[in-house]
Amino acid sequence: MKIMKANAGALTNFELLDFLNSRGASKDTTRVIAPIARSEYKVYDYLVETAASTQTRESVNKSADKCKDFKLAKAEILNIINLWPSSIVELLPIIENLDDREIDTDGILELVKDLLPPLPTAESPRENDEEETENGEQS
Amino acid sequence: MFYLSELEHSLRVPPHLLNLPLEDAIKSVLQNVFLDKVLADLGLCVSIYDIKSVEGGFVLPGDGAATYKVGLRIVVFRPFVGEVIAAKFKESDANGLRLTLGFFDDIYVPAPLMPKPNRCEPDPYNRKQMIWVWEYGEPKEDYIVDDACQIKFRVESISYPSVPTERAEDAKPFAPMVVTVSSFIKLVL
Repeated sequence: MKIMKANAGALTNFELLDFLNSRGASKDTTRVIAPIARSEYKVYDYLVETAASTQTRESVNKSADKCKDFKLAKAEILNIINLWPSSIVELLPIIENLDDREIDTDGILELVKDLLPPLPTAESPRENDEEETENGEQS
Repeated sequence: MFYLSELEHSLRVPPHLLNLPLEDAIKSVLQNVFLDKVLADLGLCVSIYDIKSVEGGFVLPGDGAATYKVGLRIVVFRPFVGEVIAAKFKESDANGLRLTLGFFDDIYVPAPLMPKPNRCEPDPYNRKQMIWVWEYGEPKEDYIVDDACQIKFRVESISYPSVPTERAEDAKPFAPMVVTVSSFIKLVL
């Protein structure tokens, strides 16, 4: 076995979910019929619970383009698309040296809100708590 | 989290697969070889993405199987340092927490990297486990770290320990890929 290229490109969670879906993975009992291994199904189960399950190819492309305007590093853009932060609390750990770089965090949160329906696990009852902890959140 | 890697591999397709279309036969042999295995410095192989080239097909003397040289791409799970991932709580002990992603279990949060301030209490229900409690807020509230939380963590380092030659009887199962993280705890009920 020879490794030709260790890194031939990064995949977002959405792209992997799309790939598994195109091979026939699904949540219901047709699992036995589709040509997907059990270990791949474990990955599928994990991805379905993240923000990737409600994203579409257009929304991912659009958000990647707009994030370039915000002067974010490639790794940060990948993190934002995978995690889909809906509040400042979730955005802070992703971006380093926030103050030095003058990143428009409100702009990023607006972008997330515009492009997407809410995450599969309903988080609205928790939003009040997150706003209160925003100032004191330690990382 | 997930990367594509390009590999080249020589494999033999055993005779009982010769009735399948070539691509399917090669894919099933590749799945047995690569799927759910950790490749050093590449990560955990999650899936075969596609097959780029197939060469060969020679049958070596004395062997019933055809040997092919296949160029392929696989999807590997390899978190980078600084990535933020959501995971579930698996177990905890005095050294820290262990988290799971469903398909990958060896994620450890060592005690120094837990969000501070915190304290550790012995679990009343399970003697081998300890409960970690996060004290946060003014006045201090206790947030207990257990199954109810979804934990977001940031990757600090990844290590690929080499295969051990000798092991003690009750040692933990060998982990070919260990991810060490620091955590932010987000409560989702």
